[in-house]
Amino acid sequence: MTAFFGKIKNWIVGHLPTKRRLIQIYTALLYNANIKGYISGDIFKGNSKYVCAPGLNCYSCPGAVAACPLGALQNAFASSGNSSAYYIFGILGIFGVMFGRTVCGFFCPVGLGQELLYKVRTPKLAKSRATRILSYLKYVILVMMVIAIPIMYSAQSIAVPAFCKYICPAGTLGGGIGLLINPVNQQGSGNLLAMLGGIFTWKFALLIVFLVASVFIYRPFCRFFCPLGAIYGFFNKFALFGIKVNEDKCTHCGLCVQHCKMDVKCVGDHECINCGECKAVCPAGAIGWKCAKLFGQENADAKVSVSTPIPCEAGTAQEGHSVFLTRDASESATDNSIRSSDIQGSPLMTSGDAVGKKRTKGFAIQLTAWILALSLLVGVALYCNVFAESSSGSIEVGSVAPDFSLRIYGTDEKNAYTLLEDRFVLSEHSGEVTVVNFWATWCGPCVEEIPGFNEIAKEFPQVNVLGVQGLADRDVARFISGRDRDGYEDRESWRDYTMIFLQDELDGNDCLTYIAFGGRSTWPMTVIVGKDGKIAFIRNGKLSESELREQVERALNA
Amino acid sequence: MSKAKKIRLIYGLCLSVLTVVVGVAFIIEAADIYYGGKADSTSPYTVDTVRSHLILPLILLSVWVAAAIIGYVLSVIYPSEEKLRVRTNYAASFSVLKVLIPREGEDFADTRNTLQRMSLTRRTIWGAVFALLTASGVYMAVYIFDPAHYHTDAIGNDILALVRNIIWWGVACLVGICFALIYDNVSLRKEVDIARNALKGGRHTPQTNTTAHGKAAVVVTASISVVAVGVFAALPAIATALSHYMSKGGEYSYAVTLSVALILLVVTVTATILFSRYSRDIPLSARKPIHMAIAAVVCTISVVYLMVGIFNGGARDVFIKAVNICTECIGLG
Repeated sequence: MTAFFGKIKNWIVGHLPTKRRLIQIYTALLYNANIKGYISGDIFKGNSKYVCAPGLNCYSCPGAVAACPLGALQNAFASSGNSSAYYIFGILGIFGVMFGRTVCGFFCPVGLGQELLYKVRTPKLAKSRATRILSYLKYVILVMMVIAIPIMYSAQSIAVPAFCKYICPAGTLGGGIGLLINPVNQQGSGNLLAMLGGIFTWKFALLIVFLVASVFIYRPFCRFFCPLGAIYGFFNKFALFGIKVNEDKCTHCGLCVQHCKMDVKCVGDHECINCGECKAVCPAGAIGWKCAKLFGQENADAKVSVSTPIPCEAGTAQEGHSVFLTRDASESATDNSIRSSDIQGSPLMTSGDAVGKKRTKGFAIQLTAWILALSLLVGVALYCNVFAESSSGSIEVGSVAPDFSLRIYGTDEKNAYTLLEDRFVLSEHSGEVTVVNFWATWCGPCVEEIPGFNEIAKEFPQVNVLGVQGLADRDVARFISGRDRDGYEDRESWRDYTMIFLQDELDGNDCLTYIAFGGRSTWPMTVIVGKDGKIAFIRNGKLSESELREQVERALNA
Repeated sequence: MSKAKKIRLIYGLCLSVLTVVVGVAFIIEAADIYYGGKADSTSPYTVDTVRSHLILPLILLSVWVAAAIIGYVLSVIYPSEEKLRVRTNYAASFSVLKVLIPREGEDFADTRNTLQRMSLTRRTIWGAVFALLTASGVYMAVYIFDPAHYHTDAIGNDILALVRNIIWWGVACLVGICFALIYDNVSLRKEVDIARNALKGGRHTPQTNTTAHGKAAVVVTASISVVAVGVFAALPAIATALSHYMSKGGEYSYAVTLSVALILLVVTVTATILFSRYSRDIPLSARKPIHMAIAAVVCTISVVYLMVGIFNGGARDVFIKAVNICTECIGLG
């Protein structure tokens, strides 16, 4: 029994989380510090969402406190013709130059999840030249799904962030499932289940495939699919933080590449996530961190001693030699191995006092860094959960529709299409069926469904079909007229549509009528008000023309 | 095989099967919900439907979690011997041995001819694969950048058609690459054996590397870096110009757009090959200044972009999209 508990103790001590793991857990908590969101089922709307998190973390996750760089990039391409591309390129450039793919190794929750799943004790699929070739698939996905498709649809002013929409597992798990599991989002105006169909089924299946693959393959999503890793890979060679090889000490034994689970050809190339695990296996101590001086760690690892020799197969690495995996300083080596006496006089060895002072300085710097980091986490958590105000509505079918008075878009006396002083007042149309569609210029599905709503408006002239525009990213009148921000004609004009376009009242970033009708940050949303002035139907998400027709007929016959 | 190893192997196989079964169960239930409810126009996903379909996968998931925990306990009781499985890098071995083979003299003539022939065969196969990749890239570019394939009323069908059209090229490339890799490995193994046998017992002196690409490598690498940084600097403007060019207001010509895309493809591939070739020969003393210069320029451009984005509303656009959920855009549709 004592031996058993001794084994348990040794296992725990040997498996304490590394600094890298702690940093990964920290960043996952930091990115998703809005705990209130998991309870309320709504996303965070604070000002921290002006900033993008470095790693992949879907903005639609209830806990997310920052924007996602990949989603923002796709929206930038999807909205080409406006200005957002400069901002997101600046953010990606700064993260790339500073960290390169260190973001993947340290600051990405998706990478953390995959690494934890990889720990499950199953046979593993080793890397090979084939996986190296397959790792270039992420560049194909970057070009196709992140750049080409959004740009091609942007010419018609429809936002299609193809990677987020069809592939991203972070969006499915954090955003989709994160919102769906909350009971608030399963009923009433917040009901998100009603909009699920083929796209969600596909993405859910893809998520399961990624999760299962992560058990057998190291970081399959990062290695083969992640466009963000592909982007950061361009910066890896010259990023300020990351792994570097001291070419003077390197003996080109190739152990670092052999030990690495990523598809690297050399340490620090575009596939290297700068996790630092190769440092422990380098027998010459040639691998270190860039900017190590900042953390007082230069030569702190100068001890190059060996522990139990681990034989390798003949014909590999250095032929006829044993190679070693070092964990900590211990006894000297046996024959045919690198002996500590061989390196006694090497520049790596420093005096004990100098090493001790550097270690003290390094410890102080790291302690300060951790204190600052934890303070930041606590500060963000307090800001999101205590100080930041959130506003979202909730309404049920059968409740009385709130009245509103909103300005109409139309043609003025100078024949210009603009926001008029005329208003549409709901209470003046009691006894009539009114379809209220909340849409936005930046929302692709919203723009897609508008022509269908207009067809219903033409087919049922006794029904008021309203398109209420919320928070816009461009001039709405120009958008309705079929022109982009710079005046280029890019789509069919809606000026002569039968349906009526209104502008919601805004209070800061809140759309008041949208919230009054139970809106919970999801777009588009369609509400049908019956003849009795009560809510007859609510739908979050895109509504097909046929289903809208069915609901309108039901409301007319009620 | 020791008892501990047998136990670990059996456990690993069982857990692997269970993992796949759990995943398949989730996928089947989701597909069942979707296809089962497609008959009418309302969404097949309801609270009751989801709950009833989740019971079996969640039970299997619980079993899986318990099995994974058991695995950790087993790894404590029967720890695995730490062994690094190191694979032979035949390409690296061959490049070392090749240098040792004298370039002149009759003693090694047969060896030289055989190795050259085998090397040529390998390069021919890789050349064919490269041609296949280029052809696939051209076809994909032709398809992807044709606006006629993008219809605003059927985006889902457009994406499916895109995948259907290009996936076979992707499969062909994958098959070609796998074949080339297998042949490469087999051939290199033979070449290494031939080279070793030829060098055994013979007097030979290593050939010095007569290529001296130092300065040329620096110039080429620096030039490519300048071009790459220039492309980074111009990307937002390119995206905007392309979008305007394709919109109805511009005089759009598909041939022009396609030609630009193909030229970019050729330039990118050529630059990548040159960069990979020459960056290896850069002297260490020149590498760090080049990297620092690139980092400084890119950082400066990025900061300027950030400022431009903040002042012209780009930051606000990012914020608007981050605080509102376009449901289909995150896969809820």
